[in-house]
Amino acid sequence: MSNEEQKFSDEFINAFVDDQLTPEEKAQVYARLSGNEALSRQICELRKTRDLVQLAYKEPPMPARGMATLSAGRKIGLGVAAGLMLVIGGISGWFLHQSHAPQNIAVAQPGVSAEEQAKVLFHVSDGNAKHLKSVLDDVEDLMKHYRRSHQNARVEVIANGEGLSLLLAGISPYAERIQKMQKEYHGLTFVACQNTIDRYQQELGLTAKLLPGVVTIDSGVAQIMRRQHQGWAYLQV
Amino acid sequence: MRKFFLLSLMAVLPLGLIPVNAGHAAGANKVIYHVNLGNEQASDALRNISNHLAVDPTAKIVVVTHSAGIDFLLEGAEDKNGNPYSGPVAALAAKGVEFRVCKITLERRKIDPKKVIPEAKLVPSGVVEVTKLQQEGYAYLKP
Repeated sequence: MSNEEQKFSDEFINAFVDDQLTPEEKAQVYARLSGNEALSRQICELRKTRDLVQLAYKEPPMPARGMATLSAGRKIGLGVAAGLMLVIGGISGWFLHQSHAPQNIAVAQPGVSAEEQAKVLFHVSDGNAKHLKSVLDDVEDLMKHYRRSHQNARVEVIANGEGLSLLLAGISPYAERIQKMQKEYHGLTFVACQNTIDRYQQELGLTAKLLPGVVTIDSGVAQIMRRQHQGWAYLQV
Repeated sequence: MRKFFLLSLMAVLPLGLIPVNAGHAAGANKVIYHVNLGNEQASDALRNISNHLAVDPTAKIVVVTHSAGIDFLLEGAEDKNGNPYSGPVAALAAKGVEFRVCKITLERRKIDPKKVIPEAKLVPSGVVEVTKLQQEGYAYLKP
């Protein structure tokens, strides 16, 4: 079987993952997948990578305009870490799924284990200062919890609407605290909604200046949907 | 050959080509109501839950509270019209609704755990509870 496996070029397998093969060619791959763990895993990983690429953060607007951006090092670090986690998650999910397949319906535990990475999304849309403090308290408590339990975690705090004020330089009452939290917890990312930023610009003539290290996403709402589809837990706070 | 092909397909299907978490039990109507904003939101939640159970009496409902959301589960709590929360909470608890209160919030706000009404159960962290339940297949509702 391993000799036959050599016949598939990387391009061919990539085309399979991207759904660009003819039905006949696809059938060849499916046939070969049977009992071929290496090939299955390769395809599984390619799919994960593809999804990751599709969902990668958009570049924030130019820093020259006063928008904050990630340093190149941190960005690459994030990407590599995220990629690794996805691959690890994918493989462990795959094995879990394999071993638990028959009981799956009864247990309804979609590949959750202590070792697996926790992924949690906080959605902030209210700009009240007292409220924003309790949001940061909640986020920090969660990060501490994962640290104590030695669990890998990716946590995103997505701000849109009035919640964007949490992440605006010169406006956020908690700029220093956010900076501290970013340094303290590497799995934590603050994300601003580009739609909201654009709306502020159009309606109020405000050019939003984001705090350092804050990334932007095209649409906060779309990101929330994507993340939930990817299995992230969601909290509106 | 055809048989081989079919067998191959069967072998492929569990390999992650379908989403790993597609296996929730059919009809598993488990729902989190997330309450963290205060009594006004809690009143909405209690009303929503009554309606929810009227439509779907088999729904498994867990109310997870933290921050200002725990207030309605403290002894003597009243809504804005002066009606105690304990009545409607006890009625829903009798129908199987679970109420959970965040310990971190109690510590942070220096509230004696004894002040939490007996229908509610303490959990180490409300936020962690919400994430765990979602991993167990609970849907998330924010009233």
